[in-house]
Amino acid sequence: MDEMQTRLAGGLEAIETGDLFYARGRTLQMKAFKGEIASFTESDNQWVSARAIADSRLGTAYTERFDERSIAEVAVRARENARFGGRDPGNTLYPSGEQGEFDGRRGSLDTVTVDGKKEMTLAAERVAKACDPRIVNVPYCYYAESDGAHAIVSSHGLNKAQLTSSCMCFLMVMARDGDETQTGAEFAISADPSSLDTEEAARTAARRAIEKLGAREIDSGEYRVVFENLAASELLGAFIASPGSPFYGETIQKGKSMLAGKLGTKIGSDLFTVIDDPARGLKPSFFDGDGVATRRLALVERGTFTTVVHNVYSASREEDARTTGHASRGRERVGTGLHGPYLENGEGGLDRLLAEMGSGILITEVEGLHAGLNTVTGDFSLSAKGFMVEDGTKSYAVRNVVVAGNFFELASRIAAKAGDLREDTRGGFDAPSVMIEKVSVSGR
Amino acid sequence: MASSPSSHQLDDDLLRSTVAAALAHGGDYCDLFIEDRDDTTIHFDDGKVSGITTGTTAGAGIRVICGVNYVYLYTGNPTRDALSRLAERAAEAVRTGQSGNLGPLSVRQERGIVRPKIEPGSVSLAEKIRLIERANQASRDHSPLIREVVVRYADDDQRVTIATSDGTIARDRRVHTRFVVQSIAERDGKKETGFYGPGRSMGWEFFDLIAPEAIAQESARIALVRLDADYAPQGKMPVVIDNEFGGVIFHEACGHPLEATSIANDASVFCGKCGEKIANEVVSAVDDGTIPGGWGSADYDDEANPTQRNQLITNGVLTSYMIDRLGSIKMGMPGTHSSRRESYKYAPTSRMTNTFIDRGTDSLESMIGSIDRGIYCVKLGGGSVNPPTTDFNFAVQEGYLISGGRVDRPVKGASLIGKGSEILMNIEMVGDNLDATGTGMCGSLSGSIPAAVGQPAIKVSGLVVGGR
Repeated sequence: MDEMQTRLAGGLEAIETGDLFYARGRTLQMKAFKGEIASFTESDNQWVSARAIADSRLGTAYTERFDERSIAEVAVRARENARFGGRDPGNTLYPSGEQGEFDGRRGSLDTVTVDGKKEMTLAAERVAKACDPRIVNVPYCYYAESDGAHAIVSSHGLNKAQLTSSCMCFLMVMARDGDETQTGAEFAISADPSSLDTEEAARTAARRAIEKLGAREIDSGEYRVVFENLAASELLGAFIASPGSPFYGETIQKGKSMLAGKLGTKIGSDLFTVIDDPARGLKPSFFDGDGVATRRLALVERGTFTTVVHNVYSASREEDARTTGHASRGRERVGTGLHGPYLENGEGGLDRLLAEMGSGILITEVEGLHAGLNTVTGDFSLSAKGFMVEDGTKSYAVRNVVVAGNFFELASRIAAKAGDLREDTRGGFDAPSVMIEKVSVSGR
Repeated sequence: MASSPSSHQLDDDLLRSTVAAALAHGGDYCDLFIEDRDDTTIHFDDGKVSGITTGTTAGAGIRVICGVNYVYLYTGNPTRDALSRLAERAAEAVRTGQSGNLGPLSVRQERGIVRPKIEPGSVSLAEKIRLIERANQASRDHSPLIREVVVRYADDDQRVTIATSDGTIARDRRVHTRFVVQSIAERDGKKETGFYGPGRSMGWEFFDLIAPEAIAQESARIALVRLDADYAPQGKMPVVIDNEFGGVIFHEACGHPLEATSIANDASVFCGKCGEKIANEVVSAVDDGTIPGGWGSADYDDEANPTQRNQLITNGVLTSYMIDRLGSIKMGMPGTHSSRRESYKYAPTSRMTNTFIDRGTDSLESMIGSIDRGIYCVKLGGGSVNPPTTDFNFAVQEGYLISGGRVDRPVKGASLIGKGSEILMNIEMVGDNLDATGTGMCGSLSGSIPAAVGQPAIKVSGLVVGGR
């Protein structure tokens, strides 16, 4: 890390005003298939992205080459690109010389040998297959781990670095009965492979696939709906944590947010409390892509919109705004991003929530998130999988179902929540199961 | 730390010795992939250039196949030392005992399928920005209701060197230019976005083919149609899907399940169906990586094989899958030169190139005229498919209600939902207006790659339309 920071400091001389962001990731990934390790991948990758600001104009350049000359070159190219950029008061640097090194690793990836990790992955596939004779295939059974570092240095003297690591497994299982094929998926994530329960994940994935067999079509209409935790996470996250999230200052300034002018007003039901906690989960963020220290914030409290999410760019474009520490950083650009966002947990299990619903539909999966929704208007229309619920209990599985509605209406119609919030849901947002009073569902 | 050489500078001996070293402890096959790539993207938003990024990607990946399994290792900054370390690590990870063999050297020549006339790198940033400003103006001139125009210009120039243990060495260059315009129309506080973003495997000469004004006007036109649109009806109904990007339906719901990635893993409804009728007899479909300048074209695939035209479906009968090396081993079928990857960060696998339903004989008018109540989709948005089941879902960007055999009012918020295996049988009519230049980025196991989609207009009976 130290050697890299020295090299970055060299790049700073060429950039005049700007910063350099460095990221390195090492990964190990393996896949079990039909009792063998079908693929085994190891990687080591790093990049430096330079952001130059001159006269309120922005230029960016990145490189994967790491000799001193390449890093100096990337700084020069960023500065040249800035000459052609448009002037924008948002193009400014975080004026701080803060320093810090943070170790966000919550465990060691070395508690299990590589051979041990192979055995865990193979065992997960075996367990999934043994669950039921109708499990015909396990197309995805992965173990993956990564350890990453990133650092930022700026011409104001800012110098911060952090480390994170985690491991996870993911399975997708196929069940078949006659002509009908259904899939079930599950993941588990941990700081330490010795505490990663791959076999439990396998059983859950298998159960999900089997449960969906015997799916029937249902009539179109308006139903009471419970979105199970993972489906709720994906659906709500596709709006709240998307690149064009209506909560972002950048989105509001572009006129693409329905939340413009709504700060301090009621935008959801009392159960709609959205928190961003950078310390949550296994990939904590100590500083954002601008180098600003992160902190826990409520975006929405009991239905009231309390925080507009800003990075330095969007905050600098408004008179009274300050960055909330939410710059995301890729090689190409600095954007806005949340760190560990979630919908506040409810109480009780999913069973209790279904009992409260009485009759309706339990949606366990939504598909087509990148096509079937509009983050500006909040409209969505997504194919979904789930179950009919009768007398408060799960009945038969349903198929060819499309749920349609509007995110902002959904937020106002959250009538109840379960206490089944998970951590580190894929998709960047965590939510417990939620019940919505009225959702349009189209079937046959 | 030493600087890594550009991939085309590495000599044949070094490439061959690296491959040999990776096979030192066993393995049936090895390939080495080295790339360096330059990217330029310019974002225009809010009436000005909001960002310019130029980037350099440089790395190498080495793969060893043993039986039906493989080991893949990759690293950035591929110096000569890094390549030799990579080969050593690969050999350690394989450890089967016997060393693998290298075939006789065969160096492949350039084929000219992708050959930029004007290299993107030779055009100044100022000139690229002038093009963007022309598009901005054209969209705003189209209607006073256009309130905002977002433009993204992107070009990339990738040099790859692929060396395989068969002895083949191919050096290829892939160049892409793309111009994407989003126009946002506003009336009475209601906003709608229109999107159009064509691209080709071409350099700056791409803009002789399509003027930035035409791209901008198309996006503005769609935004205005959407402004007038009402929500789509729901339910099962016949649908006419027009040409060009309409082909995304075939790409997602039928193309992906025909890739070896799905077939070889028994994860596709089309497993074991070669020679069988899987589609209505009016349907023939092709994946063709050799279309000059095509968005998904290349001289060579990522296993150093010359790209080819693969006839996937002939008059409703499944005639070919899309198969890479590993798929070929697993399936016991010859490869179809369909191996692709985003970059050295991915092991290659079976992917589509330019994929389309071939020309039929029906006119668009006759299709619409045959429908009493249905939807006419002019432009589709993105979509996704669950390969094992072929359940798909994609958004309708520009659509109209069909009523009494005529195109009625525009509709929005609709999505088309169905199953790939069923829709193929339910394609009742295929039009004569083939356009295979629909431009998309396709995401799958080996990353995000340029893939063209296409078709003539098709009539599908009984698709589920989700609206609200």
